[in-house]
Amino acid sequence: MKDLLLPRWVLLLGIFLGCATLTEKPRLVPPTVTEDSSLPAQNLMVKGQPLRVHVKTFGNPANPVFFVMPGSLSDLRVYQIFASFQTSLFVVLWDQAGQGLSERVPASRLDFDHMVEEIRAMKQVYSPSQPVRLLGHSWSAVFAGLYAARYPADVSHLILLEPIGFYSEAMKGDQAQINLFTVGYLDMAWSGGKGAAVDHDSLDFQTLSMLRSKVRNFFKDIDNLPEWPVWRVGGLALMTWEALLLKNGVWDYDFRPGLNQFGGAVLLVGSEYSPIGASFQTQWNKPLFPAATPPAQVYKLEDSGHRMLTENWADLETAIKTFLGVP
Amino acid sequence: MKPLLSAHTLFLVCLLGIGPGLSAQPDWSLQVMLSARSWLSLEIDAELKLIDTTRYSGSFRSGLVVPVFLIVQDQGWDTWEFNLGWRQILTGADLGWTVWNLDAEAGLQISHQSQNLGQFFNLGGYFRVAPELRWDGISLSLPLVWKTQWLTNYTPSAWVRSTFEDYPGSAAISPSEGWLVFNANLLQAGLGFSASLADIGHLLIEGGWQGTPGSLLGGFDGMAIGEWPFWGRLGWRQSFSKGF
Repeated sequence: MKDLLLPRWVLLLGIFLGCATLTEKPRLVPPTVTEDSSLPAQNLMVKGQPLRVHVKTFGNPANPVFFVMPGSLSDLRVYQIFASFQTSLFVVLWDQAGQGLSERVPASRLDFDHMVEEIRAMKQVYSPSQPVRLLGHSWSAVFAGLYAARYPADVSHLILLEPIGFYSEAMKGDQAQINLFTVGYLDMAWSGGKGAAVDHDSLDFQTLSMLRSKVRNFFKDIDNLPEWPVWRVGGLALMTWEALLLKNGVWDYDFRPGLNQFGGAVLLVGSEYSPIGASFQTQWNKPLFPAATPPAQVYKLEDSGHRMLTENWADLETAIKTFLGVP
Repeated sequence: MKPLLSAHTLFLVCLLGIGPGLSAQPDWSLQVMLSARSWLSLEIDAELKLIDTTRYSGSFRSGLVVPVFLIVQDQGWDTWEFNLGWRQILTGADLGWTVWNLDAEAGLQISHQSQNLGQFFNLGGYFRVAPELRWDGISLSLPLVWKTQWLTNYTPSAWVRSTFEDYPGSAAISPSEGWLVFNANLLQAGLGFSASLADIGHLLIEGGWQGTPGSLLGGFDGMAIGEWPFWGRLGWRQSFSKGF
């Protein structure tokens, strides 16, 4: 009988563990790749330290690689719309460190140098011998530009969807205007005053509110915000990046070095309604790419604000496909 | 519904003190506070207290403090806070030209907020201690405040629920719901000043630093999500010396 007891205990243990696995685990935010091994992920080495990022790919790996990087307050969920490029390109989407469902790391590993080297590590995995088509949106467009400046031979086509100005003088206008009297922000101030951002789950949970706080008006109609589906945003990453732009409380940064050496193709996309839209990109960012071949161009996305993927995808997709020369 | 104020939001705080205190002859006072819990978020307080001030330089004064905090927004009354506390002022020493007091207050706090993330019903507590020096109708104090949440009943919004849909992993997950424990402690420290003006009332100013121990965001980094590193209050207290 004793011999039979062990299998029973094993069976009971298996049933218990099975039930525990099947039971839904309530959380403030969905788990990242370090908590859920079933998520599609890629292990990288960035500046000598391991990093695990959430990755999704579309298409044939033999095709030219098209890197798509989500912006801040985002993850790759909404960017999966770029799957439509898979007929002729191998589309690689990933959440950068500290964002989306990728690993959470300390602020010291979220500086601009780490973000650029992370792109380098991804290229070594997915396209080690050929240049990539690289697309960034908003904050990730800044990282894409920095990458192209540091590793110009790695990028054949650079697509920047509404980056901020690549130097602080460009942001002296009303581009950074904020309204701290919005209902959404005051709600955050009240709940934030009670303090809860003591771990990444609670911080990312609170940061999710920023998507609807309306503190910055980058929209066509701020009273009817366009949808922006996410699984999880990265609070510490965004706070770290924004803090790095400031010195003594004012904008003081310069991302221009090396941009003038980039000789690939450059497409800047600016929307009709965003304060960093088409006219801003034309005035401040386009002149930074004098060596681009063919000359850098700005596409004005009509009837859209900063959330251009959900506001006017049809025109955006056409513009990018035309630029990349793919059907 | 149109906003009640052009700034969309009116923070209305009614601090109602219900006595009597331990003294036989309590006084009423009405206090209007314009304060910033976090930068640019405004409050208007009205404080009606029933505490003994007749023995101001005596051994102590005390009273029940019942502050009510309401936020009126264009969506309606989406936030309220109710405190039930006990305040006691102890005289530490009478130095002749000045009096050293210890103003202490502790209480329970319940609050509710309906916002983008869902609905929060919080149970917590607070403790405030403020050593102060008084002379000729002027006081200087060093307020130290500890606010903590013990339990929160949370109902996620449809939007938060949507962030769990189509999750690309195989783990079965769902948004937290029901009674939760947030590690939520807020510490405040600062300076306070009050002055009696022409015997018609008191001007109150206080402010200083605030922070959450163990927060991932230091200093000014949390301002984007409403966690400001400083706080301030500006108020006017009107006393009505009607003992009963």
